[in-house]
Amino acid sequence: MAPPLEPAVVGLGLTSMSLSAGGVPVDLAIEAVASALADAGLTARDVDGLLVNSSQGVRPDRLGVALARQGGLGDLRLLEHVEIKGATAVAMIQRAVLAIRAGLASTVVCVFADAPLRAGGTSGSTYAHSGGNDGARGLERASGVLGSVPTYALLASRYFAVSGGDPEDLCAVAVSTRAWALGNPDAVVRKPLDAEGYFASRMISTPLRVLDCARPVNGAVALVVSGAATPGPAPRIHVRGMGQAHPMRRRRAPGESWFGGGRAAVDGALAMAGLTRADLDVIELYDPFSVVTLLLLEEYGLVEPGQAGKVVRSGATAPGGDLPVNTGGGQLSGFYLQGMTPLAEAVVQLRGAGGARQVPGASTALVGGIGGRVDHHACLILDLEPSR
Amino acid sequence: MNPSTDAALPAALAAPDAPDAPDAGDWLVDAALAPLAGGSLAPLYAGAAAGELTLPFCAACGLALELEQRACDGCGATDIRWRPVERAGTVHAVTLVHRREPGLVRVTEPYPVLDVELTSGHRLIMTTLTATGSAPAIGRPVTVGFRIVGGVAVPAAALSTSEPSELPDPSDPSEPSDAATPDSPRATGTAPAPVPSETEVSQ
Ligand SMILES: [Zn+2]
Repeated sequence: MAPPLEPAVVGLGLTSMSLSAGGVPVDLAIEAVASALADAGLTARDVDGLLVNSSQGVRPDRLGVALARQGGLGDLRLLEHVEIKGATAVAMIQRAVLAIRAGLASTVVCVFADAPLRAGGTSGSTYAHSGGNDGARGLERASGVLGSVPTYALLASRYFAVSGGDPEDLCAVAVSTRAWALGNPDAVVRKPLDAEGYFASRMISTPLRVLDCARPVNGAVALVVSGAATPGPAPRIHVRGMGQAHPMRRRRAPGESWFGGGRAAVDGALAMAGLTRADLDVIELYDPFSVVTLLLLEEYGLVEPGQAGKVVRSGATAPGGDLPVNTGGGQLSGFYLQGMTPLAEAVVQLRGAGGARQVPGASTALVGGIGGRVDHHACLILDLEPSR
Repeated sequence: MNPSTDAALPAALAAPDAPDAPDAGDWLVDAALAPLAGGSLAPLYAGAAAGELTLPFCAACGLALELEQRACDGCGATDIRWRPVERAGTVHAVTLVHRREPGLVRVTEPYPVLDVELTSGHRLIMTTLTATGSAPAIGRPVTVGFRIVGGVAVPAAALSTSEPSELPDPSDPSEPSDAATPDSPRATGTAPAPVPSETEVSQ
């Protein structure tokens, strides 16, 4: 029943990342899937599994399992629409690996596509108008909490109160991430940024400025995970460790409502891989807001508690530093395609295909995906070396 | 504000289903953002219409529950009781929102959003009763009144003027709970603190 080879990422496909309206998710997904299959040296006929990740919220054009039919795939043995909010992309890779190990599929395509940029409106406007009027979200929206920025701004204010951080720390994240983006041709923002530029940028919801927020794009990313030998020239990227954590923090005193509890995902993945944090060459995190990078560095045990701001300000996470984080520019300066952003960058780095942004000798990566209000964590340890 | 046509309906103010009752409008958001009063938070809105802050507790063990919780994480019971709580708490987190979505947000200046930790233990996100250009500091005590959005009363924070307005230590990770301590003027057991002067009803 075991696959001939250890399940590995063998194909990666990205559409162009567009900052203007155009494209619908299904077409973007088809383009990314074709690109990923070509990268792996495969055709649609080789695929027997498809996992689909769509943007949250019910949109008429959201991606779904209909992609299998619309995208011209043949008979499948595995087809699922996976939904753990932002953690989905990373969880899809976990799902694919487990299915292949169990003999339920041989070659699985994992895809995410989104097109939040519409003619006649900004993505911020699209998000501000979504959410509905029922439940806790309806009450929040009636209280002026439109889109996701005010919520993460509340999180940031609380994080500062607990960690002792301040806006200089956010600035350091934005500047570090931008420095990486300069070397990534797929990054949508490639203009040099310094502290002066950061503090001159528009405030959205204190303490978060526009440069603390992800850059939504219309685009798609697909990966191919396979337990079979494939003809593509790129090295196989093995999934040596995986973990999830879904801490049930409560919206009541005492205790924090918005952070804590994610570390178990990383601990579990490292234990599975037989590796330690010192073995990690690159760290790729889901960073919808700069504050999340700070929070996750601490929560995942990559820096000492309360030290994330200091570490980022030291330059350690920037190009040339000894803790490279979000090496493609992340979601802040690269592109916001949810969990696909850190995932794709990890594959690029381990393949040695990072060009100007390549971390020399990178062979082991941590990919951390989050969902909800940092409620869901899914992570991977990716490695050039197989487990066995 | 609108004295003309419907003078024959003086009872409209008390009628919970008064359709599109004319009002001056909320200070912050358009009526399009009115929450669904008959939806999953119906007890909260029914209480708010009567001037009470009504929140969910486990009927079996008394644990304060989240607004959308359907089973108690303490004891597993599914019997949930909504009851009035003291309308007092402290600021747990705060932001001043600068982005103002055209058509939905009516103000021209940044507005505050607070996460308030109530003395009941619940945390509830709200804005302020009236426009203010400054964000109250974490730890600051607040009382809770109600705004009217599209005819629906929603909780909103009144910034206490009897307390010193300056910032407590923002790095103190403990949960400030001055409002519940015996020396607080608002610590009055389980009875809702009456703050009618801070309750804006705009009909
Ligand atoms: Zn209970």
